[in-house]
Amino acid sequence: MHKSLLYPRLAWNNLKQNKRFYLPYLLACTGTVMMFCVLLTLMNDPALDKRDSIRAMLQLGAAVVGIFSAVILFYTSSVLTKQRKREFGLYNILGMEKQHIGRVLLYESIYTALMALAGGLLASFVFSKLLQLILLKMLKITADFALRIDPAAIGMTALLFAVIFFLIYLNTVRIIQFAKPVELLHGSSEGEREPKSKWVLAVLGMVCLVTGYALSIMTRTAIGALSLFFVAVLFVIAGTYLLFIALSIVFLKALRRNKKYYYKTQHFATVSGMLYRMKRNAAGLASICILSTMVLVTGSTTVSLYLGVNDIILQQHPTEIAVKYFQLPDANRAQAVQLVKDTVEKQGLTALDLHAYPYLQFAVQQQGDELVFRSSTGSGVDSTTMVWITDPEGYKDLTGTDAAVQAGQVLAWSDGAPLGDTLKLMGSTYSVRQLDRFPVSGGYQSLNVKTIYLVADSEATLHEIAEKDDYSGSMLIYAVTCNLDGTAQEKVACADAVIRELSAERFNGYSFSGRQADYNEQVGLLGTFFFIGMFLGLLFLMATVLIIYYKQVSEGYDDRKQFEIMRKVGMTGKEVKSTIHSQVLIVFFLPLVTAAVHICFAFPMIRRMLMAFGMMNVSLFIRCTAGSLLIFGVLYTAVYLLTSRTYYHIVSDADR
Amino acid sequence: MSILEVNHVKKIYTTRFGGNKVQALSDVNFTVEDGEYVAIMGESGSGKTTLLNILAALDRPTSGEVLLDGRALSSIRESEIAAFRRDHLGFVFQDFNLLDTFSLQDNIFLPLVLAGKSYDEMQEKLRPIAGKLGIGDLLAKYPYEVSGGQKQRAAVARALITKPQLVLADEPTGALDSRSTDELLRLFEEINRDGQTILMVTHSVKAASHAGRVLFIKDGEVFHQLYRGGGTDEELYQKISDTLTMLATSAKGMGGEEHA
Repeated sequence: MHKSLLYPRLAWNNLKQNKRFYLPYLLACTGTVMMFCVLLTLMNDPALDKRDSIRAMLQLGAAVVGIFSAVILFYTSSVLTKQRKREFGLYNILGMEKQHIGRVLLYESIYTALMALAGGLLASFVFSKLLQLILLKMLKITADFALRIDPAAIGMTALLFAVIFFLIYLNTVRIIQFAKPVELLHGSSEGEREPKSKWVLAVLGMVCLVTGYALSIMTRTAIGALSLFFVAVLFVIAGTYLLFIALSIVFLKALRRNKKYYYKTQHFATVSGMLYRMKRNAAGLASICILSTMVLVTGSTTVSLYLGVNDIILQQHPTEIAVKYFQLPDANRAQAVQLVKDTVEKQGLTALDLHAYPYLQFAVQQQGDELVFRSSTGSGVDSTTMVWITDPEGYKDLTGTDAAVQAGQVLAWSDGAPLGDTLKLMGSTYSVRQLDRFPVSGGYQSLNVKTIYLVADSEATLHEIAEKDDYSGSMLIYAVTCNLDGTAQEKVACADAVIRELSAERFNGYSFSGRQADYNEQVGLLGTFFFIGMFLGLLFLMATVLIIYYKQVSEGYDDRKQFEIMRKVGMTGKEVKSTIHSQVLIVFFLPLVTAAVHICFAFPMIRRMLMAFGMMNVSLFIRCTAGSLLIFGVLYTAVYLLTSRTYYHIVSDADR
Repeated sequence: MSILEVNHVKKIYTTRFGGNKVQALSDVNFTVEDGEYVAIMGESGSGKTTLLNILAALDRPTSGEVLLDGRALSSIRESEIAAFRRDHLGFVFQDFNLLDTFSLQDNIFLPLVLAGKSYDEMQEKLRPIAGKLGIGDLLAKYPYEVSGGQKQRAAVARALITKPQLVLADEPTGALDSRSTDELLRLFEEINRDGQTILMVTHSVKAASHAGRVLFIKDGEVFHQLYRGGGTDEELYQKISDTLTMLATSAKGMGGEEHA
């Protein structure tokens, strides 16, 4: 053989020989290249011009995918290298120096990089069109159907992955470099010590997990959930790792101490086998568990946000158009209403359910029958209640019925606890006449803040209250709201026209909200969110599959010897199979079950976080969570079944 | 009374894709009496391992039969064979075959646990055996914590704890240093003196010289056998050496005590 061809050929043969380990790695490389390139291509899509927020999110998504890809590939390649230690040791002993091995590894890395990039870029070219269609459909954007190659995206992908592959190569060389030949030769069969019981860690893990769960269950408000979620996640991650590593051993050892239980055919080999299996695999299993939980959380939240977008929008925008004028002189009220009505009609649409009413809105603390301004007690947002007050005229405009409120009296309705017979506000006591519903919504449900709706006897009372409120400086607002007929585009155009007219008229101060434009924006964002969620879910799933696969294969090699001995000593093939089967089953379904438990405990907290986004539909979220759990469970089982075939193949090689 | 009878055992391996047939055993005949200590010698490839696998019911002969205590191994159903092996045979291997996940005690208990014995009963059976083998203090240790000789003694304890009719030993001294080898051979003699039948396959002249009878296998047949008679280990050692030399130099035509 020509000398210069030795290394490339050796490298190529190595890859072929190690197919069982190498192929999944190559597939993972190709998959991550594809995902990254697709995200970049989509980000640069001309159809997203003027949608900067979506672009920014896709960019963020690409960055996250890039980082996770690097982590996953690093992990996989180091597993691969450890499995191949023996092979490298043999080369070393046969007279290859480490620099020669390094050269073989370099060729291997180059082959891997070339194959992964070629395959990944080709796949991204094939799939980016499909994914573009899906994305634009989800975002409700119409675009042309041109097939597009994006040189910038390809260049960027090639560059990033070249760097990743180079770093992986350096890491592999480092692993080989620091090992002695004899160590390399015995690399995968180091004598194993019995795992020790680590009580402190087990207790600590339990504490972490309970803390994380408690944070989730005890957090009552959306804001609390948002700020504490990350903390809870950290506690649960730490708890998961500690539990898998320490508690599992403590538990198994306790089983082993129970002589009556332990010395039974069906428990004997399983318990002692599990001890070692947990020692070897605890960290990997905990990782699988965390990754699975991440897939489930990402899946359930992004899907439910996307599917719940209509609820969210209705929550935030009870009417199609709402103009709120601040400190509008009474004389200008008719003009303010007319402006909205005329502009809508000028656009060729009709203003439906046109309402105009004055109101006051401010935050208080409810202490029995008294409503106190927050400054007086200074406690957190948890006990805050909103107050929304209008006058009889406004009430009549909204409901069409006369309120007939006497002086010193209020009509009242609360979306929280029912009110008492009297209500004290700003030093005045009002007698309460209960209403059984109210025609407007303050829009604070999403923050889990209750609102008390009142109708005072006159507008003068509203002014009086506003003047006394020196804490939040609330002021009287004059609201004009209406719904629109017409298409989505007409609605957006109409809203724009209203905004133009408002700024032309130079009102003192006003705010405008248009439902349709915001809907488009939100669908765009939540759609992108969902889309990236799917991508990340897929990536995490891939990582999970890889870890499971490598676990199965390496377990298989470890178990082979055990299998053989047990048979020789007098276990039937059936007994051995059932022993090993039950161990493998526990090992691979433990993470899934734990992930499911995590999800159940995370549920209350995530539900509250989704409320902050305005997603109030709990049953939708339950369905999304259950759905993603089901889909993930099925995929996980499929992966398990596929990889366990490889496992039994390896194990029964020794079973001749 | 013969505890083991091997009659006209023949074994032919067929390679996976048909075609080549390899005859590992052509016609093996011998018997082992109750309480005997028999060594089987032969070069690599002579069929020793095949024979042992057949005796251990791990493999079935192509023709011929093996009777253990008058019962034909071929008459035992596949589903019962593991239990049969566990109850009637004890095994000692060259590489010990102790499970790393068990302490020595649990390794020794393994066959009893599989047979569904209670913990107290197992303890009772273990005590005298562990004492005799000198591993009483090591029972809580794990295989990776003890020496090769100690591992092999634990493996012997595992083979003896079921009180088997026959102990099959496959190169039991193969992985031991000379001191441990001597110790183990002395143990085997002692156990044999207590009435345990032992069949040992070995390469080692020294190991074989401790047996009561030595069978030589060549080309898939029992070619020759030597009896200790009243002689010492040294005399038997000398006879074995001579036989091996003659086996190596001349293919056929040995005189002496040929019984095969």
